[in-house]
Amino acid sequence: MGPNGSGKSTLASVLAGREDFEVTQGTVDFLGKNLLDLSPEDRAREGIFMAFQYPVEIPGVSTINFMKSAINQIRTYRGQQVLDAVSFLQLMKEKMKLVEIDQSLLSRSLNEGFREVKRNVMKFFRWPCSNPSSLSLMRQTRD
Amino acid sequence: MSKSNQVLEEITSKEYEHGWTVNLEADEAPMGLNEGTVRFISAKKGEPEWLLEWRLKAFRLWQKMIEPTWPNVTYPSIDYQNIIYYSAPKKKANLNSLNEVDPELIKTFEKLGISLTEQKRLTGVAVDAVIDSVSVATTFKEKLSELGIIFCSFSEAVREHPELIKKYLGSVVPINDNYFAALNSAVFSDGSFCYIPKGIRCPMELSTYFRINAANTGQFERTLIVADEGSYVSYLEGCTAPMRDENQLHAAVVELYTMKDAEIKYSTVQNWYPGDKNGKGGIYNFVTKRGLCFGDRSKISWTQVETGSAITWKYPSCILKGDNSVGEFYSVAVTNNYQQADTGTKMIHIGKNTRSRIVSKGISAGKSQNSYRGQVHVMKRASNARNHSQCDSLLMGDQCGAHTFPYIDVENNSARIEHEATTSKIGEDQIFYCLQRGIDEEAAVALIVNGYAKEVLNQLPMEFAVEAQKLLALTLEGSVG
Repeated sequence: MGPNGSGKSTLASVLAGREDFEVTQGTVDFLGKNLLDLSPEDRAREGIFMAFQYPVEIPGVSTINFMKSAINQIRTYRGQQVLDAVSFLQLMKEKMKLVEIDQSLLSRSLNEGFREVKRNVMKFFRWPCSNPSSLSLMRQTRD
Repeated sequence: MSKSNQVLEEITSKEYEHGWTVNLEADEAPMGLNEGTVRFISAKKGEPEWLLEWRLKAFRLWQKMIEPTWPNVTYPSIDYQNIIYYSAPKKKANLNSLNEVDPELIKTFEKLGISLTEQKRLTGVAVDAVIDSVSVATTFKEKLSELGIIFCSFSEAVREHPELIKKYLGSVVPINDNYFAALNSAVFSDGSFCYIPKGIRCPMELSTYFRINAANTGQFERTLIVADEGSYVSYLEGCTAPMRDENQLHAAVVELYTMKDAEIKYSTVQNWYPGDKNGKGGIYNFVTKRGLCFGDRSKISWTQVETGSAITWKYPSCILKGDNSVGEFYSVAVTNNYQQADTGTKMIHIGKNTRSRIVSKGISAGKSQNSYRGQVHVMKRASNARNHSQCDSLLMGDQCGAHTFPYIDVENNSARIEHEATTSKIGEDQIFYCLQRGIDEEAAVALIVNGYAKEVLNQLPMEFAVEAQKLLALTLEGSVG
């Protein structure tokens, strides 16, 4: 937390591994590993989850397809078995109940045409599904 | 070099999967092209006199024509005397069953994932396999003939159904249509022929698989599909070639003819060898594809996924002659490294209330050039014609090019034409978003590209759609700039 311009977003981006930032010194210890040694996708697989204020749209990619790729890559990284279609759908159903979203949203393109509220709901849906160990929320204010 | 550029390097240098060759004993024509070559091919195929005359007429016209220079592609001039125009795997005099086919050949197609032995085939697809210049096997023929459907190699059709060939050959693409069509008409060696009788809905996908094997040869095949009144057929075409340092020429002609209430759906996954990452070798793919919606309410739908070839020059088109006829063109063209593609369609509206739809998705990466060239022509008599075109380009990296050349000619003021175009790059934000959800860069690009091309991929029959998705991912994963 902090006032505008105090560096919340920058910190979150650095932790998540955005290319725009260069870390000149220091280490980031996260559950016994130095985050700075890891690629952005490995940081995510270790459990860093960043909630975007304005998630990007990816036309033509359904939420369900996206989630399946993400979850299975995370599972492979963690040495867990890859989920088949049936158990994946089951997991989706459980988590959907948790955040009370409608099934029809799953086949919609990723974040495309969602109003902000819905985007945020979807974001909190994706969060428990990928089972992270930390969550950093970014709340930027528009000028 | 940024990380994304490195990934681009790695992925795009991925080797071409179908680059192997097999040792097939071949029966070849001497190198070069003259009237003798045309006579040689015709004699080899035991063709009737009229067809030889037709070929010779095409050859004489071709000699007077000049190679087109308007496409947005560059290549060293082709030496037409340095090509072998006929190459056939040697075979026994008469093939009665697949058991007699050269086992090397069967292995070749099995390597490509195409089994010619029918019991092993996916049910629901009949295949005609063309290697170099001739068709080597056609599956499910008997089952189809029970319905009166003719599906066989072109040479066989000339022997067994001369009346149909005589009537429809060149009826959609005349011999003097263009330089490469004339060349093909003179020296075409084989291909597929398909006839669907009145009111029959073809129960399975028909498919031709083209493979170039021999060196220094050109492949000149011809496909002719005739759909009689009220019939329907879905046709698939796939192609691969070995990796060679020299360029090889492929100049095919495809003619589709639909009568009243008939429909043809034609899908292509083109994966000819594109050349290596420095632009050496690869296939010159100069193809004329055209469909004639002759009858009222007929429909022709082209779907193409173009990932291969050093140069692609092809415009699958529809002539909408029948009233209320419909033409569709769905295309994904991917170019990488030094590939060049100039592709699109022509929709010629002649009949009343004719409708056409164009969806073109270009993807360029590496140092490639990708052009969409399309024509929509509404003739005087075509009242209430409708067209909707959508041309999207996706760029990866900063050294490739995407170009759009739409031509619109309207001679009837009741027409309604719409053209939409977008150009975009894969955004770093999109990639980062995927990375942050644990998806690596390769998979991220595959997801984004497949999403971008989804509208077209959805048009493909199931088995083909899966193959096409893999192919897109393979050609482009990680190509971000």
